[in-house]
Amino acid sequence: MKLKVTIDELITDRLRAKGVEFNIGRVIEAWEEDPGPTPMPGIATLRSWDRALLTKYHPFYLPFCDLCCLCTMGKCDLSGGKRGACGIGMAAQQSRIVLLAATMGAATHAGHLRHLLGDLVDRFGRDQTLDLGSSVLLEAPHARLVTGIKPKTLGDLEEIAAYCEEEITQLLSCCHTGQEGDPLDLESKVLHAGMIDHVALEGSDLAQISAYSFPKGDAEAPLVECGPGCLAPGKPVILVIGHNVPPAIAIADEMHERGLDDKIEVCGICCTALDLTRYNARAKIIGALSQQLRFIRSGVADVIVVDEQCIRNDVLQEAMKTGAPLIVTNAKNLQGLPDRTKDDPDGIVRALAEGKEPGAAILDPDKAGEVAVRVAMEIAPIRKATAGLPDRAAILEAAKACTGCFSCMRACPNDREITAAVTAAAEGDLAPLAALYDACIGCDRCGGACPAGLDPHDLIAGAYRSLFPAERYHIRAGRGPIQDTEIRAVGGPIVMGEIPGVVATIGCSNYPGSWNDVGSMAEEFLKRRYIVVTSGCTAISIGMYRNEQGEGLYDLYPGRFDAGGLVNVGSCVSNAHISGAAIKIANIFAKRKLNSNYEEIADYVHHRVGAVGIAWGAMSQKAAAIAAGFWRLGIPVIAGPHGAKYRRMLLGRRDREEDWFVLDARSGERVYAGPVPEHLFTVAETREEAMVLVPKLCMRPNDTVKGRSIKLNHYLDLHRRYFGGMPEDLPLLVRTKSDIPITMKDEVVRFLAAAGWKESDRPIPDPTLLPRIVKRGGKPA
Amino acid sequence: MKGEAWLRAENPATVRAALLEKPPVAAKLLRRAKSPVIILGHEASVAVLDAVVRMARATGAPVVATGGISAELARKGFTPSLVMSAMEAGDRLRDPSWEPVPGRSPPDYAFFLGIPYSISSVIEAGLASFARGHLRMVSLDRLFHPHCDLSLPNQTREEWEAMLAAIAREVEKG
Ligand code: SF4
Ligand code: SF4
Ligand code: SF4
Repeated sequence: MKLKVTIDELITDRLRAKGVEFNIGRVIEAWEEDPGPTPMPGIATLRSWDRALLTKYHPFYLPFCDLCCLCTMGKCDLSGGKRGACGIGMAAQQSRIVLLAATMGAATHAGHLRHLLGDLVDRFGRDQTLDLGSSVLLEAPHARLVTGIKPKTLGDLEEIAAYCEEEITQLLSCCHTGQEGDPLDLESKVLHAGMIDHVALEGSDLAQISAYSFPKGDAEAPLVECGPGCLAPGKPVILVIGHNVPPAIAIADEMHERGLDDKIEVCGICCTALDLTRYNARAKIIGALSQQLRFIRSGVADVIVVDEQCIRNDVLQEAMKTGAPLIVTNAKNLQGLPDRTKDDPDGIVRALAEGKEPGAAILDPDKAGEVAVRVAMEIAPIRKATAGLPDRAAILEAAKACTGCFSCMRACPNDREITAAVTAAAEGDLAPLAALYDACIGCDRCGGACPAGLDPHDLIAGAYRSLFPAERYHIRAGRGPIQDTEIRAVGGPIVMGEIPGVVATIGCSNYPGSWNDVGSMAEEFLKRRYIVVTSGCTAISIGMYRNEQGEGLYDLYPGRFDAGGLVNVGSCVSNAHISGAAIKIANIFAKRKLNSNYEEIADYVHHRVGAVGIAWGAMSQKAAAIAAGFWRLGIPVIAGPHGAKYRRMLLGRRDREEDWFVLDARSGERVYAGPVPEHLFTVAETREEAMVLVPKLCMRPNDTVKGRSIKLNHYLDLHRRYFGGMPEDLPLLVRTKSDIPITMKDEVVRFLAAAGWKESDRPIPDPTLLPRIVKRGGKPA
Repeated sequence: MKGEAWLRAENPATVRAALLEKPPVAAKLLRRAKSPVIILGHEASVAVLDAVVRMARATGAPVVATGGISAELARKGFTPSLVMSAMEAGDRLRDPSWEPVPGRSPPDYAFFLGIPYSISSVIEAGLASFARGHLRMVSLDRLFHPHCDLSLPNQTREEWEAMLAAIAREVEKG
């Protein structure tokens, strides 16, 4: 809303004026709730909440690099207790790098929000209303909680973006030499970056859902096609990669306007693909990020259109090898191409279709869409891919050059048995190469390392390519937010523990092994009637998993936010709906005040909402920021083995009783609540270890007897299956005999007796870490 | 390549593990340690498990089983002292007062093997900085681990299994 104020006569101590007129650019309307204690918190406003968390969850630092080379006084060797020339120690240095990563991630999402808003405001205007449909009245839990703004229009989101940008600038400045040096204060800033990140994520998805009419919390969002086998042969193919969807939507619109819906295949990799299918269910998803290089090199795409984030930096060189023109659409990733935004489309189309230029930067989404479609139609019949994945004969021939030097394996992040597979291929057997396909993250480090000039990445993909046609799957299009009615229905069962937990399987595709691992984990918890929520590349990988009966999980399980539901919220930016659902439980179900009331809401979520994230293939700085946003709400995250390279864990010590006391909000007493949830951030070595951790990290101090019993049942069952026997921490998790799962009663009682377990004589507390909740006589929800 | 990080890009700062190539030397470390602990991950093969069980039985060293390897150990009739994740084990080792078995003095030597490289290399780098005063680290893994104090060389699986069997034999000799 714009405001114009005219004052006939103004008299103050210093001023006397007539006919004064003010123009106020934007006014954000107040909403029905009074602001809480922390509107638009600065980088140190929530420090005491962070410290409360960090007292339980201690940073364990993992120097991925012992050196610091951030300024010209370095390089400094910080190992073994040494300090850098600026005085920084190893712990603070690791925190600083975590902060840098989380801030980069938050900046990337906030930058995305700003870019998206720019495009959408141009097209729809600043006053375009935000509308998530009649089932989602609490539209922006993060924005309301953190900024106190209840956004109603795209213009309101600009105010929210401005707040995020300010905080991100402050956070980045903390990474400078000679700034913050205390590890815990740096960790607090990491959590701040995470919180800001989720505000930015939410803004982006809110904007695009409203502007493009994506599904609005629709549990029955359409099933869309996924996998390289879903492309119809013989049609021109446009491939989109990245995260900012307007150019891809412009392509779909252009095809429609030209009557080419059935004549061109538009497909994508990563989040742009996910978001495109939320707009147009005919679009196809090729796969997750790890499919990027192999699909480009397959030569199938006639035109490649990229926007921002997670795009291979060598995309232009790779596109050129296949003869596919590259169109870049975002100023953040120009690839050195000439800016043709203002040029006549006919000229650009000619230059690209005739191969006179390898690509073009077109920063106007509509023009990029038009050019991509026209070029695809012109080039497809004549393009001759100058490279492609090798066929059987080429693989057999190339493999003969292998000297067995292991350089490829010593470059492979996943330590795949490449040498043996190439050697087998030289003897005529391609099966070992093909078997590496789904555990290969497509990084091509092996190719760069081979002194004999082989490219094992291509040999693996080539050996597998006869199986591409069978790679056809379904994924449910991203549904966006969780409905308020769903929250009302499941809030109680989640908080009481009767729905054993919400498992959010999210993140990138830097998997340590087969991508099927994320599918099998999801299936396990769906069968156990957890709510399984997913997004981004992991949502795609889950789609590409088939169970023992050959069925896909999106075909089998409903998309509703309820026990046994498989909920694909959408792309990376949709992760805000997952954390947002936890906030909504505190507000809608438990009636905790939302407006600028971060600590109280986080305190509620941490002690009562049994949710855990699994980021099995987390790779990026954005993933670090997303995880940090969950941590500040007290929601634990488990990463796969590569997650150890994020440089620090946040681990609890169940053996230190003093760490696990809470205040009972009813009495103000400090009471022992047990080590739940035990960690805030950890990695699991194997899929099995992650699966045993999940039910444990879903336990909360507030679990009812029935809820704890259900959660223990899953924990004991999975522990027995994957670790053998009873868990040694069981005595810390069973509070009273009533917590013991009935089906295992005798065995558990015997085990507890042998361990010297004593039944607690205290009632289940109304747990909090905030003294002010007690002071005002807060009541359990 | 014996004494280089297997993953070529994984380099320590200024100190690199000494190469441990002779089974009697490794066995001596296990025997002479005042309070050794073995951290065993899921990449251990059956033959490796056999060797570790023999070492543990001969020295009384507690075994911390990570990544689900406890289930394999149970099949062999061996109960590890602790079942926890490698990260938790690393975090505990950082604490100079941690007793893996109640009443037993905190570890002065930690022997690592079978944990994925991406996890173990950063845990070891962390302990090299944060447990320097009270802990020495020995890698009995298949791959060379530069952040430890001592490490077996890069080996094939067969060589590794043979090496561990030889160390177990030496340990059993007493
Ligand atoms: S920032 Fe500090 S530790 Fe890093 S290089 Fe400069 S002086 Fe050394
Ligand atoms: S492309 Fe695949 S096989 Fe090659 S180094 Fe990367 S993960 Fe390993
Ligand atoms: S690097 Fe090349 S030559 Fe060496 S083992 Fe690998 S494929 Fe063979």
